[in-house]
Amino acid sequence: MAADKEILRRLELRIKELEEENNSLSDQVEEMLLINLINESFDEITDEGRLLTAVLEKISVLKDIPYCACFEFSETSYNCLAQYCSFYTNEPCLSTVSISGELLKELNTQSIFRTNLIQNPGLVTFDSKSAFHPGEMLAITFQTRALNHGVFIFVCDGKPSGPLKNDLLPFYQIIRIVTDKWDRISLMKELRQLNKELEKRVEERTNLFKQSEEKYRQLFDMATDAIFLWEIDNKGKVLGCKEMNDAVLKMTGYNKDDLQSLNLFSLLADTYTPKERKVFEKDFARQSGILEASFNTRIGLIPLELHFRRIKLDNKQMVLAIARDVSERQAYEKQIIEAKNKAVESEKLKSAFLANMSHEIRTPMNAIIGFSELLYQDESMPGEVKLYADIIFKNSLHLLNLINDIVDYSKIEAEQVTICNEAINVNELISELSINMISILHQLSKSHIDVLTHTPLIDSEAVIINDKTRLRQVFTNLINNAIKFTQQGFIEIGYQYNNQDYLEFYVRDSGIGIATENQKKVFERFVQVRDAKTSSAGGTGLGLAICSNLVERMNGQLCLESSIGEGSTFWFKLPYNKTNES
Amino acid sequence: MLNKKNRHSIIIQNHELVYYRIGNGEPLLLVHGITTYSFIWQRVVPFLENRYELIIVDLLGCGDSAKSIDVAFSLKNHAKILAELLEALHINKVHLVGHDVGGGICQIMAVSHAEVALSLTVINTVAYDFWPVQPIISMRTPIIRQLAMASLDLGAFRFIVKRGLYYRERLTNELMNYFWYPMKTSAGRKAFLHFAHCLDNRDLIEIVDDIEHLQIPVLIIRGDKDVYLSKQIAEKLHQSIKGSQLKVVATGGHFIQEDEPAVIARYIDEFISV
Repeated sequence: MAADKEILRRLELRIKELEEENNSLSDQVEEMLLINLINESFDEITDEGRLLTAVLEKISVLKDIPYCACFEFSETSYNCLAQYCSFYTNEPCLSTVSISGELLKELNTQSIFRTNLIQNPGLVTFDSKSAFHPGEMLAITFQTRALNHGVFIFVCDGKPSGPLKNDLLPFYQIIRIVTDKWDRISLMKELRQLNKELEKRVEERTNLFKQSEEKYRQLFDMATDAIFLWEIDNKGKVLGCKEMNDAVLKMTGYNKDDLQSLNLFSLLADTYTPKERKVFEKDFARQSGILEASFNTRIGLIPLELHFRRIKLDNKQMVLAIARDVSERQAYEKQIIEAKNKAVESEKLKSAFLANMSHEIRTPMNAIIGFSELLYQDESMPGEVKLYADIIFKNSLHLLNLINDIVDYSKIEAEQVTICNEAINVNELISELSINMISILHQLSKSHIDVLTHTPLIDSEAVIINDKTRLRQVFTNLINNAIKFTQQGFIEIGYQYNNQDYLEFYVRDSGIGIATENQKKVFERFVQVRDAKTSSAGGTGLGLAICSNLVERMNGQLCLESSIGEGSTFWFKLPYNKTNES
Repeated sequence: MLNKKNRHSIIIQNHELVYYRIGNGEPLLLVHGITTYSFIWQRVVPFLENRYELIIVDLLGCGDSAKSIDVAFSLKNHAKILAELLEALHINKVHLVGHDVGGGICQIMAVSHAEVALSLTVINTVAYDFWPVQPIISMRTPIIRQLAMASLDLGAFRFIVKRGLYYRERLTNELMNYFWYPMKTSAGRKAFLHFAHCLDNRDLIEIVDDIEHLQIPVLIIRGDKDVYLSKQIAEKLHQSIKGSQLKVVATGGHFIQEDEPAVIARYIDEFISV
């Protein structure tokens, strides 16, 4: 009997042991499950508030701890970050929990604090409306990146056997998991913030860059000069044009496809020698410089001034080239050079003219003064007086002509000559001129020279609309020249009509003629062709220049055909309209 | 899901109670158990709504009813609340149909509010102290422990539901969403745990004698493959209650309304019609 009792007692003991073992194993499994559950459920949480609420709820439910909370604290104050109270219906819990200064002091000095609130009721007090009766309390402080002083507070209810075991490892583990995750969340937040700032900066920079690019793109495209970006290889050989602006197309007619893989120098004008081409290529291989050359384009051959500079872009050697069409500039330069030459020439002619004039004016003036003086002395014979007066008169006339010519030419130069159109019967005019010519020839004892006229139109049709005075002046001048340089033969004046819209007037003589090389010069100002035969002819050198200018103003052009010893023909065409005659 | 147009709510004991009123005929009060709410009857409704007026409740703390935990979720109090509901709806007599702890509630109603009960049908019900809850709320209790885990983890909950079904492939995401719906809020989870903590088999032990002397017809339906509640509950009830019927469904799990809705409906209909 006693033996049986002993066996029963042992068996009971054994059962108890096994139960305890079983319970301990269950505890371990539960804790593992809790930790696992907490760990797993964190994956989608990105906010520390939600993280804390979730973990506090899990601890409360699975460890059967009615009040679980997380506070941030200092030496004198505290702030609830999250709490879970299983004894209230709603979240966030309405319960307000007060932490005493005494507890704060404890928390500031030790990382773990455990007490029973039944014995120390003042440490943590709950809202009086709560039906909760606090029992055991556990506080574990922690630190994260974002929080220097944090504490988890767990309060069990007042039941005699609370769930808080001596082994607090699971709590540490959970808190470590939470703080790790919390740190990760803060890091992610910081990262996101940084990322946001970075994105903002990138966006700002991108916008600035875009604006800048847009600005330069506009400049690039709006530029009237052609801008190219040529790629070159290490040896300086041009591989092709990689970028160009709109002006390129306008200036050359080429587009990007045409120039993509083209060597710039293959477009050089055909007139350049291989040697010259080499020089250009060598110049182009320099760091920067200016080239001027003519290039073949779709539009034709154009002279370009090429400013270039070598740059490195995307690890490639590039040459930025700005080309300007200099054809206008070149033409302008040519004009300037011509104008300059003309000015120099003109200056020379003016000096020659002045020298000539001083002679031409002085000679008649000397005669006038000298013979006037003789007359004044009143010692001359009556026959002499007449001779002297005649000489004075002729010299005065000569001087007057000279001055008239100078005045005329001055007017022409100053563009003060106006053309007054009127109906001119050219047959009558030529008749008058021929009569005058006969008279002059007679005076000059050149009556042996024949005076011819040619007027093919009948009088009623021989009418043009032009300036009569100027036409007469031109003819008179040409006739005077003819008389001056003709010693024998004939002088013919007249016009030709070839059923066109003009009449061709001419003055022809059988005089000494003008050498071919001098034929252009005679129309220039202050020019007199002088040689042994003409040295005595006198004159201002302005006559033909005046004629040429006047004819131009009358819408014609004065031309000359002549050969030495065979005479000269001066001719010009003036507009004629047969239906206008009346 | 039950049709929203049939959804009503009423304030009982200062808390909102949601119920559905569907069909015409003699009234049937359908009471769900733990981890479920009114939706658990959705597949049964089409077989009964043409012959009966179905009153389907969300017990306090469950489904869409109030989640306050300042009210006792004991079987006794639920029975009292339901009796108040029937009174408020002016329903004098009703056939009681309860599943799981709902079966326990209906047992209490049949005893404590006998005047309203026309008949009692319990399906995979709790009874006596043959169910795994103990008066001391110890977290070590396996079922409470499991329920606590389930309230926090969809995977754990899915595991519970799956084990409760005979046709496990029928656990679609849609069905799981119905189960999980109250767990989505903290208040829902708290109410659920409060519900679990309030379970106390003393409530049923107290009425053991009265149950055995019930004067109304009693039908006991048992899903043979219910892994959560013992076969002995159904058998002992059947033996103890004179004239009671026991129907065992070979292809029924704990959530037998999802497994064999037509069979259950037929059994109920046949039972009531006699």
